[in-house]
Amino acid sequence: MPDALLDPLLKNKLPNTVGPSYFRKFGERYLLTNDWGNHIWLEASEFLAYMGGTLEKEIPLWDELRTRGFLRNYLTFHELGGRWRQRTHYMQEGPGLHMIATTRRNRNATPYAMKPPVELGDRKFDMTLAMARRLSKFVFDSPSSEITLELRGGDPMLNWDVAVFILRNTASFASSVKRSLKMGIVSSLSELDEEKVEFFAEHGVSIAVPLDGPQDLHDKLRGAAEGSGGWEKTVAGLKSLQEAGVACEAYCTVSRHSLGRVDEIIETYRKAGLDSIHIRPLWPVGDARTRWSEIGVSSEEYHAFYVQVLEACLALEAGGTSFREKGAALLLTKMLCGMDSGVVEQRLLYGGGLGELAYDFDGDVYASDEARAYGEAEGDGLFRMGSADLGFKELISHKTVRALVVASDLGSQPMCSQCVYKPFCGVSPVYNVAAQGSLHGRNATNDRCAMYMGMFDHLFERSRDQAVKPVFEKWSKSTMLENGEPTPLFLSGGLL
Amino acid sequence: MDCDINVKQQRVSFEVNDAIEEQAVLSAAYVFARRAEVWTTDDGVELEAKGDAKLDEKGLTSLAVDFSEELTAQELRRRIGAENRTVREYLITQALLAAANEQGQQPADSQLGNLTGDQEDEIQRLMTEAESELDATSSAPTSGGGNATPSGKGEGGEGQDESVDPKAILKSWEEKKSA
Repeated sequence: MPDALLDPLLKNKLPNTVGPSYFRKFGERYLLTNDWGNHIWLEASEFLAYMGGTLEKEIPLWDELRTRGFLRNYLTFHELGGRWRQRTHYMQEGPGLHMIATTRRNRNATPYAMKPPVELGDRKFDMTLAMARRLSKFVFDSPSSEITLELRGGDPMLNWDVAVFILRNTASFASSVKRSLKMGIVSSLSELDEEKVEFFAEHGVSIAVPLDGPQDLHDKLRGAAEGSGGWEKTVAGLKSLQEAGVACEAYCTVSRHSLGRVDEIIETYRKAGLDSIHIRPLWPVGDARTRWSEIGVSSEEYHAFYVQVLEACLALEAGGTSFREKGAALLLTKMLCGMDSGVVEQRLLYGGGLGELAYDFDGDVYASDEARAYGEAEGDGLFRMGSADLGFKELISHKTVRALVVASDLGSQPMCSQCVYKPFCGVSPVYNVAAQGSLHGRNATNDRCAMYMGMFDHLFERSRDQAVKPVFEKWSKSTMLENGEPTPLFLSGGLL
Repeated sequence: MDCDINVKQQRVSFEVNDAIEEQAVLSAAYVFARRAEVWTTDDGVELEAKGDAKLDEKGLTSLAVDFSEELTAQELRRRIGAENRTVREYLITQALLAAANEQGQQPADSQLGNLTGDQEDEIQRLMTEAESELDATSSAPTSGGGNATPSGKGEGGEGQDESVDPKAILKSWEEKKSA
């Protein structure tokens, strides 16, 4: 019987060759991982020999297990410790990622919009120039030597003077104080014009847009609040930006309407001149929560959809067209390269506050942008920490940050602490609060956990395919975060 | 597999290997939270299937087999964790100490707010320059021209003397929730 396979191992004490490791069964094979970011596949017989202490020495498998840090008596502390430090370098740095919401106004609807929606002409939800001035300087008080700045909203282009002020001055300051800097804007591009395109090209500002697929699908979640043309303006704007040499990317939020339309979605991305897609699950927050039965997807449905997208991307790659799923690339960077990809919600400790700070239009500071967006959508100030006047020292040691760290510590989370994907995964207490009403959450019934488990399962299984492996290696290198490089843009936050 | 099945009550029970510790039973029960409620008995466990679809005898047996397999896996994971705890903690402590030594050239506080006086001056100069430029080019400033926000918070920039917490939002999340 299959359940009896491992039972003999219970009779004896664990041999002293079995080092710190995590395992998971895949059919007749076992996947082993460890905290140093290594993994290895073992046949059932090899796994039994490893766990039973009967594995022969002087064979290639023994050497592989030894060099990858799976044999307790052969651990090279200095090397493995260095690797662990490299993978968790973010714990020695301060928050380098700064997300500033310059307005709550947006011409297009979003699934997480506050209710009632902000009137398009209501400028009291705009950041003031005085606040922009203060924040432009404040981000340079960060202990991090690399700064990543994202403007979000609302649509930051609706508060253009303030956006220009922040971007232009941040660039000047970074140059003056010799800090590395990356700048980006998340926008639907409904306000884009020639002047803005030129500005982005001149100042090296990258752009990310929400693009859920073909027009009818996109407009179901993001219809223009006034008149039509939201989707058309997004697609036309992408073209103008690309022609001007501005780096662009897009993310696709998966709703019930997306199911069964994978080919159309990818075709839309390709026609828009994009070479990647970033699939993101819908969160049960704000308007999306109240409409969950209409637009929400279960973890099983999301997993099936995700697999279809990934396979469609792989089919394009097999045909010679470069097209990647960015979420997969980010996970593969951790899985195959053993390196960090910069995603703050996929860390050993949640990166909100430690690696990222978010600022609302009125100067309120939140631990992360998803925390700010959650506060905006739900009217809940749970994650609000104060204002920039507190200073970095107060903010990064704030009680809210400490609570987030404790709640997200994978070593203290049931399931996570023994999970085979612990070296590559992370917990979002913000999602836990939104979906389960608890900072710690309950991973056994947590949809985010189930979605990640499904993604990891599929990626690890597919990485065994010799035809797929080179593609995965290429993707993994595309999102690798080098030391001394600012956190990449557009990775943080689930509420876009 | 020897187990007692009650299809009507959607329950299945079986004995648990003595070598499996209580912690492993708890972990396995947690993993199965979507599929079944798990009750401990004197010599084993009883599972009550969850979900809308009723399981037949075969389904309940399959549930028991899966849970038994999970129990064994969790017990092995528990042993790996317990046996390696010291070495894992030592290795990570060494890694953290090495990182701290690398940063040991500067006291921790100096890394917070780490602009030098010259850099502060330079930023101030650039800021003044940018504001002048913006004033000159923007005939119709945004609402940013004023100092009022919907929250009523003043935004006079550095040096303002108003309370840093006008909305009393510095309370911890526990305090907010219990309030």
